[in-house]
Amino acid sequence: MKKLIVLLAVLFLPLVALPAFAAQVRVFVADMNAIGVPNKDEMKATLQALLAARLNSDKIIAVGSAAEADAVVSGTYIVLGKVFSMDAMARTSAGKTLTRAYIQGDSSEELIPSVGKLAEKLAAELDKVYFSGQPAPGAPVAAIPGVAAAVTVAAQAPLAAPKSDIIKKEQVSVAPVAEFIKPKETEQGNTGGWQSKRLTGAANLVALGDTLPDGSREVFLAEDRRLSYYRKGSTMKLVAETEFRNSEKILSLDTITGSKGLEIYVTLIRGDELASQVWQVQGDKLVKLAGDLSYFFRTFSLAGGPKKLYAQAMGRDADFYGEVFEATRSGNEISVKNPIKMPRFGDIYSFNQFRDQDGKMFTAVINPDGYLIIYDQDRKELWRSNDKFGGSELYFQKEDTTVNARVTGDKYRWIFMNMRIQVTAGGLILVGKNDGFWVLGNARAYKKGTVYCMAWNGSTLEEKWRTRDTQNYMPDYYFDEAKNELLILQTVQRPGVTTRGASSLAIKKVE
Amino acid sequence: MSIKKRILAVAAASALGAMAAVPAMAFENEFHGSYTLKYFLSNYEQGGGGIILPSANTATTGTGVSGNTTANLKTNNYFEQRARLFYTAKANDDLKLVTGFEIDSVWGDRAQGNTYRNSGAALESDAVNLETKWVYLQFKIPSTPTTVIAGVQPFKDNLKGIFADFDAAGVVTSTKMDNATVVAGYFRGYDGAFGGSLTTNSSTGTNVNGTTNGVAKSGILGNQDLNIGALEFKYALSKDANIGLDYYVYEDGRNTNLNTTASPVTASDLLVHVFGLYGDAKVGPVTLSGFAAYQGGVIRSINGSADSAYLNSLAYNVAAKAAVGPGSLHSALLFTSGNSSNPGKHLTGWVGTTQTQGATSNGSAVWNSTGGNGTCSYNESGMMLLNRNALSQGTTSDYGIAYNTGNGTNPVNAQGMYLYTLGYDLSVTPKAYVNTNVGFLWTAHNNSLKPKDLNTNAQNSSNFQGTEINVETGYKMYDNLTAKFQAAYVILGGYYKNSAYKAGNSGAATDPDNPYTARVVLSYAF
Repeated sequence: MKKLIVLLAVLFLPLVALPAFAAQVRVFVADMNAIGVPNKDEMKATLQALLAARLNSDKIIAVGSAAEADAVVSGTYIVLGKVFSMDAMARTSAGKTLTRAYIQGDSSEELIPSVGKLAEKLAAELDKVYFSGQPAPGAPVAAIPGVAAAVTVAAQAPLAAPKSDIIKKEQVSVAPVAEFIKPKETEQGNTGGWQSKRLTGAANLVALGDTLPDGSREVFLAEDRRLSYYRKGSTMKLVAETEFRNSEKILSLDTITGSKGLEIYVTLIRGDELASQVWQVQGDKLVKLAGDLSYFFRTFSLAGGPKKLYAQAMGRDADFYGEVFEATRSGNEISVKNPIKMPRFGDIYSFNQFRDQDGKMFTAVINPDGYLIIYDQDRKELWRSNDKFGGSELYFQKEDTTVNARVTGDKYRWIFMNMRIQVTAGGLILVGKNDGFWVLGNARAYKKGTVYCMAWNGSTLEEKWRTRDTQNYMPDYYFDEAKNELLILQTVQRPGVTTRGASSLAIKKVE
Repeated sequence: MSIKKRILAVAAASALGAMAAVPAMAFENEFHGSYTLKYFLSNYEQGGGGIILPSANTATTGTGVSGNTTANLKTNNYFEQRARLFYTAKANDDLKLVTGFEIDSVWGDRAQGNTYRNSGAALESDAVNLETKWVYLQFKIPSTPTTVIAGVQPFKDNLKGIFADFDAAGVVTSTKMDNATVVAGYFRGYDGAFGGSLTTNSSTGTNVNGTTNGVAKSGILGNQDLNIGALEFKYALSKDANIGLDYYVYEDGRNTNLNTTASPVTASDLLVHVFGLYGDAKVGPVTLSGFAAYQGGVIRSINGSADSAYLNSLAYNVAAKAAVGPGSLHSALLFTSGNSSNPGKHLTGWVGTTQTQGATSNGSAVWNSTGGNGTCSYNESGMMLLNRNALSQGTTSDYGIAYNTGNGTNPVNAQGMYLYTLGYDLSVTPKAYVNTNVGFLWTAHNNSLKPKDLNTNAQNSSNFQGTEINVETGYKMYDNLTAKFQAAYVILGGYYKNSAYKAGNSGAATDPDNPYTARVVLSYAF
């Protein structure tokens, strides 16, 4: 009997210890009230995203809904003149107050750093409540004594899959302690999350639309000359598609909410001139709203801010001409404002910006050789990666009348697109990376892809996590920050002489 | 171990250590290349290059086609291949060494010990035929917006190549300031001290001193050269419009002696200044481009009295392109001025450069563009036989009726031209295309180069050289591999009427055969 007790104790001891190591508090940041500011709705959403991102830590995980949360945070942001105050309160899901924190500042420029500080305060308080050895007030564990209670607590902790698709830095850098080094775990393929079946057509681009009332989501895929509209429920269902002219090629695909619903911006090149189009889903159909727009388009969250539409022109000689602008559309007219001057190698598809904790703005660019470069506010280079990032097989061609045609013997020059750089509200930088056996000049055939998440530590970009390598070329990815989900597009079969090839889409939860 | 050996060992170890310490990651190795294989069926093309029907004195049918003097030219059928390999050693964004190599041959030409450049595809191959096209250093001067390219490099003028489109050794700087770009360059085409300009510069400098044809050689390097200078200013007025001003100078001071019987024998030279105004713009759906250019200069020792001739010539071009239907329509006109029959001391023919390593080796011409050594081009035409369109070539064969943009064989007999072309490029499927072109060529001026009607022994009255109809259809098997079929047929104009004998050097006269070409092409580029 003694032996049995010892055996049981040995078996259950790790489970008792688990909460202290692995459990994370699930926090949902609910609506933040905003008083005394213009654009209240936008500010509310921004504050909510900022606070959620900054609360994320080893011990706290921000979740997407109150239903799955241990604690719910709400708060108020008040501006009086130039001075502002922000307070936040955490409650249990049952409504019992856990803690409060507040912070104030003298100008709106201090807002972002202040959100970080507020998050730190809240996190410290939540840490006391959940990890000081006392059971959380209102937590159900109190009712179940002994070993069984410990098991229950463990079950409530987020179920970290043994083989997560997200490889965190800690996992990556653990040094082998034994004298004998075991083969490294294979880190390729999709081991979790949602994975579509084979989708006909080798898509180059993915964009995410609205979540529909039935819970399904709109997903748009673009091949060279075809735009496809899918609804993603438990499977990907093709709803509508449209094909473009033989002389046209899709270079980018983005969505943004316009005045009359979601708009799909398709950057098209016709011959060697831009002829971009805007589409919309109406019922089960794709309807063209505008065409022949001579701009490259991209929608993204500059420096983690609200998602906006940006545009850049093409020059007679320059592939990407001048600055990148914020753009608005009225029919077939594009108005541009607020130019963003590009640092060296920067263009609308290869750059994004982020702020550090002091609110200083930096620009990240993937240069043509694939190095990730960080520039300061004066567009001076501060840092560049040793590893290569980006990499795309998607290209467009322009007729080359200069000496270059003499060099290449090709009437056209090839301009390769690049992977998007996304910046979260919390200042994290996501960048894709394709790697290949055969990347030589214009002959590109990548074989695997990864998405990296990095953070600026003041001097370098540090890797926070990365996804497992895909089994195939990863032409595009998209991070849905609102749901903390990563959409990864893969080319499972390249298009052939008579076939369109095939793709697959994976959705991974970023924990 | 003696102290010397120790020192050597330490030195060797240090050197190896230093090499090992070089951060490999600092370098980017960049490889590009291309391979083109062509199968020809043509009555004039023979794996070389130059003018189709070059001479006024067309004694036999098919002049310019060696070994083919029948009334109806037999069809040549042959294969050509050309590979180009480019390696770039990139130390950083602002510093790189660029090298380019070429291997080309005609199938069955030569092998093993008998090979040289442009050969090596006969049985058992094993050819020594690697050509070095370019070796140059490209770097940005720190803290400036100026990039320098120094070494043997490609260069093309801003006049769509009608004056200069060549490989040469030189230094070119390019300075970009906002929307303005300034390019300044200097090339040394030849140094007369090497081999002497009256022979060829392909020798090794053994003939540095002495005289040739009575002209003294200085024997001093850099004293009697072919110098080419370029100064280009380009400004982007907006995203849709560019404007440019260009100046080029071509100064051949290699004791070029146009007239070898001139008395007294005089060291001569040739000086050409070119001024150009260039612009391109997108106006609505139409893309327009064009230029106007003037040449002025002097050519010394042009005749038996060692007189100098002065040059005043013109060229202009206008082109338009627009998306029409499922493809794009493009149209262009090129004009270059020409010389009259006896220009005397005033030349008005456009001078398009050509390689002149044998500057006066033919005893009468400073230019020698009959042999396929053009260094000017006009690719916009889309023609295959009517003019020199380097983009339709791609292998050794390099022919054209108006091969030189001056439309002659030297600056004295340049006839000039009007070349109007119209084309439509159609994407049949995303992978297949069909490009069709039609072109019409006239000489701008009559001179001694114009053929005679051998029945009347008088020069033909018509300036119309011919109409070309061509088609290129291609299929992209992969992004980098395209299979093409090219075909062109030229209907010769009244300019060539009765300018050839049916057989031999006398008898009944006839028109020369209409040139045609058909090519099957495989083109791989990476």
